[in-house]
Amino acid sequence: MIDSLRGVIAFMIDNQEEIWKQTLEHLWITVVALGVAVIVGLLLGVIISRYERLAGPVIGTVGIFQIIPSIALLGFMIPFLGIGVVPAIVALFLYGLLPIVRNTFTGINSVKPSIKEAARGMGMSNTQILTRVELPLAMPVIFAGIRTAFVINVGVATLCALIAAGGLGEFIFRGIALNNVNMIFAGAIPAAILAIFFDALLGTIQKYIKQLIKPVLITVILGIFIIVPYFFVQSMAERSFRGGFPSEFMQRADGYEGLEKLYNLDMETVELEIGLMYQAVKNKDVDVISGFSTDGRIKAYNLRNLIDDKHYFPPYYAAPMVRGATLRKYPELNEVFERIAGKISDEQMAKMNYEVDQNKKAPKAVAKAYLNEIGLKTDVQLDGDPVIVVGSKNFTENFILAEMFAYLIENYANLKVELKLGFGGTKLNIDALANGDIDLYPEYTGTGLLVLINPREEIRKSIIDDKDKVYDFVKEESRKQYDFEWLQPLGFNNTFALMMREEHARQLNIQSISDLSKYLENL
Amino acid sequence: MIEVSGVTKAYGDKNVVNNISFKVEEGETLVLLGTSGCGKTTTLKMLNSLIEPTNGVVKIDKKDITSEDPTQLRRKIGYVIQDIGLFPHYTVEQNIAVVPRLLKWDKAQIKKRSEELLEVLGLSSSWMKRFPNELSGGQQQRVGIARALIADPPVILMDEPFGALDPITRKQIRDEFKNIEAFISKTIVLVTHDVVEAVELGDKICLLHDGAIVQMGTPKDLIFSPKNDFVKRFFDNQRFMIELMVMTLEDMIPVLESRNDQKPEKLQFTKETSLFNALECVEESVENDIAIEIVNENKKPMISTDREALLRAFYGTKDILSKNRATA
Repeated sequence: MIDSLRGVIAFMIDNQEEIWKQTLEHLWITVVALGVAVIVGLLLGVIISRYERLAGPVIGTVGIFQIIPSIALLGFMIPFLGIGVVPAIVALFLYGLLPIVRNTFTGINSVKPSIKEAARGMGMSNTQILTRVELPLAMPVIFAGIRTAFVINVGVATLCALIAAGGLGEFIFRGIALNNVNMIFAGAIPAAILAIFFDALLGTIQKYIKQLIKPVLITVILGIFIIVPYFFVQSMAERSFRGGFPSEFMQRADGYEGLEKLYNLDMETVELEIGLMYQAVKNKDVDVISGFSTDGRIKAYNLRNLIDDKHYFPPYYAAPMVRGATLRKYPELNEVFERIAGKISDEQMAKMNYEVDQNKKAPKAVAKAYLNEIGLKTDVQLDGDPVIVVGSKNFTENFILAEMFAYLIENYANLKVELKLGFGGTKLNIDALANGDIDLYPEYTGTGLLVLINPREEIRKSIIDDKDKVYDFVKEESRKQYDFEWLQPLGFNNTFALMMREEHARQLNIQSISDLSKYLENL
Repeated sequence: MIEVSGVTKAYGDKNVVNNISFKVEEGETLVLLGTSGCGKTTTLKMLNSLIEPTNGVVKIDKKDITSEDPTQLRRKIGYVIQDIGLFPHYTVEQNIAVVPRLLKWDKAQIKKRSEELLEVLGLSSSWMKRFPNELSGGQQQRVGIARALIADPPVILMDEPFGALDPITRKQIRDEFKNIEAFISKTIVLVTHDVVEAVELGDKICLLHDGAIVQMGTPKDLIFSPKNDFVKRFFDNQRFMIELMVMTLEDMIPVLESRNDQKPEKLQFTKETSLFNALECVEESVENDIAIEIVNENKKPMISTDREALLRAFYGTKDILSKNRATA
């Protein structure tokens, strides 16, 4: 406990510069969004307390944003607002609106009718009743709404790291992907402090609201007048060449750091969620991404894979990785997986991914259709307690493969399967497998080589061009180091690849990563 | 002076107030009396434009109230409501100062006037900085009354002003209220469902039922010459007490037997004293058989009598009154 605390503190001290930067980004997004939400929310709340017919529709509409999962909302806005700070602020603004609107409305409405009547009977005008009686009396409820909105926003703002808006989410997501607790805390602790600090600050403002109302309002309004033109100018400015990569790719051994060194790439990079990356490049929010070569959206969005002419990325042949203990207990699994060994081609996998990503079919249905197509049965449905747990990483292809594994095991080994899908990073899968939380999951040889084993440079260089050598090496080392067993590869190679819009690449005449490097140098 | 002519208020098809007319002379107190839902509060609220009449005209000091901006109008009319409606976020001082601030009085003037009023209403000025929730119901209502009186409006509207108070506090404040100088010259319209309150405070009573006036007149008129059974029954509940209340000692004199014993102990009342109050004092005195002396406005004794004689005179007068009214 003490040791892990020391670890966190040490990490935070080592990375204090970055933590400050992320905290400021986080704060800035949250405060701007909240400022706008307070003004719009108060106005809407006052309006619907005056025209109660509108209350239902307005609160309903504002509430809809609250039930859209944050990540879906961020993805939904990409076609309109792109990625970065602007959509992040818009999303936070929308999330902050409901508590403020609803509390303003409730607060004003819960002022006793006799008090309002007295105010009117005294000869106050409608505006005077609002500003002297209703708003002051509703103030505690309104402030509760603002404070709720702020706390929600500090939390949701971590998700904004997924659309290249920065903030403390960057540490958190990288930490999750790499299962690095120190890194997660380095993001989470400052976020929690921000939430607590601002909640207290708002509490103080509430206490002295009578004296502070004017300066606060003036600051907020002036702030918005300065900020909005700033964004406008910024959005008009010419953007430099930009790469968008998922958090895991920014940190892992076969990720951006090595790539940057080997090819001498010099470009601005932003962090993005895997699922949003393709859309971002399609919408020209970024110019290059690190996609998967079997992704269905490459075709759908007309993207070009850049040739890895210096062979940076190892081969990534997918295969089931199983706990040694599980395989010894159920050796029949070997035989089961022989049925699809080498069966799935790159094209077939890409097509399955396409079915899920573009045609919105369920991974389970796509897995079933494929197995049936190659003559395997899928009709056995077992009851009872599961004995085998299949895991997966958090992207489409891994979901499909995990579903496929489940069908195979239930139909051909007669073992009941439980699925635990969507682990947020390779490290999490590896740990889960080591701890026995899962028994197997679909892994890739290249990832095994660089993330699981991570051998010395000479060894890596000597085998990296040969897919069989990589497989044999990883199989051997995994057994030795982790007691993990690699079953036979499924057939396709889903390598990392840098991708650009086809038309953009053609226009700049970029075929390979070296071409890209040259282009960047001449900018 | 308030003049209401042909006023109707309709909500949908229903006329809550149906073509009513009445007049309140300057300095007079009119009580709008009736059961719940008879339209009395609606009528009151049409006097300061809180509710707009569907039909008809309300004039205050011969001026149609719709010719004035409603907020300006209301600042010139005192308003006291049942739930008191003090602003919980304002201190007593700020509550009282609401109307003067709307009228843009200067601070010193507001302070001076507030202190005066609080004293008149029996509240110490140490209450000024307190908030309404620190006051008892009776104190709150006094502040509510002070708030209505502060700008010295010629007209005061009161909607069940003592309704939220317990019976004892209620009686006490009512008694104070009657005797406060500031009220005596005001034109007051007061809504209540309490017949005793109506009789005690009203110069005139306007009895409403189903949005229409059933009978309007002095308390004596309504009690001794009810226009119909409804009016009669309305006062039946506490008839004896009310009859005692509306009759003054002066009313008794024509049939009152005098008594001339030489007891030094006696109670003295002016001729305007109500029979009820006089008898109440007798009840409170040690001796039931005490002598009672009625004096005129110059404190000159008019007649000396006792409780028994007064009661006999009461029944006698009542008979005469009833007969007279019947023939009239």
